[in-house]
Amino acid sequence: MVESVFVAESLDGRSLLRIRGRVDLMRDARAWVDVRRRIDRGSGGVTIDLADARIDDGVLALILAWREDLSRDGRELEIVNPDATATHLLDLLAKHPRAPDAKGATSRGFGITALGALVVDTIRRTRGAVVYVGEVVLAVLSTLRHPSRLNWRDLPRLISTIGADALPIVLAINFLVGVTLAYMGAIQLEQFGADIFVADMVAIAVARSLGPLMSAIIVAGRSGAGIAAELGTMKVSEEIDALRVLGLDPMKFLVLPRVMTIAFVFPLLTIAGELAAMAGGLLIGVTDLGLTPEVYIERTHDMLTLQHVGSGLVKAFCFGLAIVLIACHRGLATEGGAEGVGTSTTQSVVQIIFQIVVLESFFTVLFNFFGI
Amino acid sequence: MSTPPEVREVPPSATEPGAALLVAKKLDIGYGSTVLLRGLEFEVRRGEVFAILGGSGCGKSTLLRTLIGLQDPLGGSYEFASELVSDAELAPPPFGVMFQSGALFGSLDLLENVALPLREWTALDERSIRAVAREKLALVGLSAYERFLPSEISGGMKKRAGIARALALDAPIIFLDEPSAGLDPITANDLDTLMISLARDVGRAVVLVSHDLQSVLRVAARCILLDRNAKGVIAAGPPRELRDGSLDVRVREFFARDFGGGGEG
Repeated sequence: MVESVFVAESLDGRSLLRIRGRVDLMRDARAWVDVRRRIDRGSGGVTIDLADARIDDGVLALILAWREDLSRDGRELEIVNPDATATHLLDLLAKHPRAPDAKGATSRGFGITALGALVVDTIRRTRGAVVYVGEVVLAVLSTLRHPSRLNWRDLPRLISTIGADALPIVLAINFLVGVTLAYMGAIQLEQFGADIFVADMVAIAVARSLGPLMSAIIVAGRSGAGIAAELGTMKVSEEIDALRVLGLDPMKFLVLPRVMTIAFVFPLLTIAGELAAMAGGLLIGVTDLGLTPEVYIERTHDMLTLQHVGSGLVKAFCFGLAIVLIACHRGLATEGGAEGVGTSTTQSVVQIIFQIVVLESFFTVLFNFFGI
Repeated sequence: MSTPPEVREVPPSATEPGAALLVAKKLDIGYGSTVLLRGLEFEVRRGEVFAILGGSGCGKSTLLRTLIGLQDPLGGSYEFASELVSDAELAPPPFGVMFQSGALFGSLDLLENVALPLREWTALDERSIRAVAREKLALVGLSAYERFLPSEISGGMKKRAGIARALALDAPIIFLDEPSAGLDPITANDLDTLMISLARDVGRAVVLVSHDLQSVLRVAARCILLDRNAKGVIAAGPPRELRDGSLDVRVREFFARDFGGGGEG
């Protein structure tokens, strides 16, 4: 039978708590909570007798925290008969007064406060984004004047990782999109005997819209996340600061090479993806609808005007810029360790995909309006 | 709200030993609206090791970040000697910096890390760049690790490589943030010797932010001691004099912390 380490009694209107033996925070936690609750319900001062106690600093912290709580109700707590260890620990704790509980001090914002904070935060972010775009433009202008200041050495590596390495997945996804699209279309068009129009549908949908969109989503998840994580890691490991103090502008050294790479490589990836999607359409046209490859290709060739392809590439160019600008911005804005890098990476991908869909809608309406 | 650092002229003669290369005037530093240190006045002279001392959280690192231009001062100004400030539109800063963690570029090996500033700022050919970078790495004892990536070497080696990179452009001022923290005694000793010789023999100014009192007592000609509560400089002068002669209890306590006044460097 384990005897309780806490023995409470009342004495002249005060509560007396004797602590006997060694208090084990794990074993005795419940007993502590119980005895504290019992004494809290009473009134008057509290005396804690440590004569028979062997105590470490964790328990003393509990006692001192209790003393603070009691003093708020106008009750005092007195510690008597501390042994040498306890005296020493008490002295030590008294020498380092605890700062007021920071968490309790700042109340969480609700309702109108939270709304205000959101507005302020949005304005701050918008301002940051505008400043950032301005900085990029300045860096471009300055690079035009001093082309040798650009970090050309990184370009081959970037073109290879962002462009060539992404090619297989871009081709695969777009091919499957083409297959799906043709299949869905075939089911409907077959009913009217309009099988051949599958080629039109796939070609136009892919060139104008789906090609750039699907490629952008893949590149956002692949290179966008990669860029944000890379720059974010450089930021938290002081590498960006190190660049600055070497007199090298991170804009010119890190951001511009990536912007140039994606601006150049992404439309190419998109074109490759579109061809893959049309190949997917061709596969369904031939196997499912019994069209000959010659007829399908001929039809696609007739339908694809410069307008269709050009409008898609304009989109692709803008999507590419959105991907790289957001990823770099998020990466460079990373704060605080590994967790910050994770947050930046996630946020950049979410934001990129959101912006791409917004841009897609914008362009669709715009091109429709001008009849392009 | 924050004013950019003014670069005004310091009287000439910055080429002689003892000439002021960096002067802080009524410098206030901090971040946002929090002032950490107020009214700092000090100068860093050619040919000496100058130490910035103080307890944790007193603003040493923020002061360093301000001096190297990563942060704007909240008030006052600091100036580099006019000889050090280039008129060219594009020029490297007149100082080299070693960050506490080394802050090496993770995608480049050590030689390329040291070569980077040379590539960016000099018209040297490839052979010369490599020769200079090799020499800088040899200076910090890393010759055998030229082709290692930062992730493949220890923390102390990263610091030393960081020093080599800070030295790459022969900048007249070298800032070192906690150079000896985490180094073994022998390497730390070599580093002390390097700092002394950079200052005395090559005539650089070495600005040291450090906790390592033993090293500071050995290498630093002068120091300032910062205090969090006083929000400023509580003592300035040669560290040995401060240790042995200061009447300020905070100063005595600071110097007494590591070794009870016994060891003589």
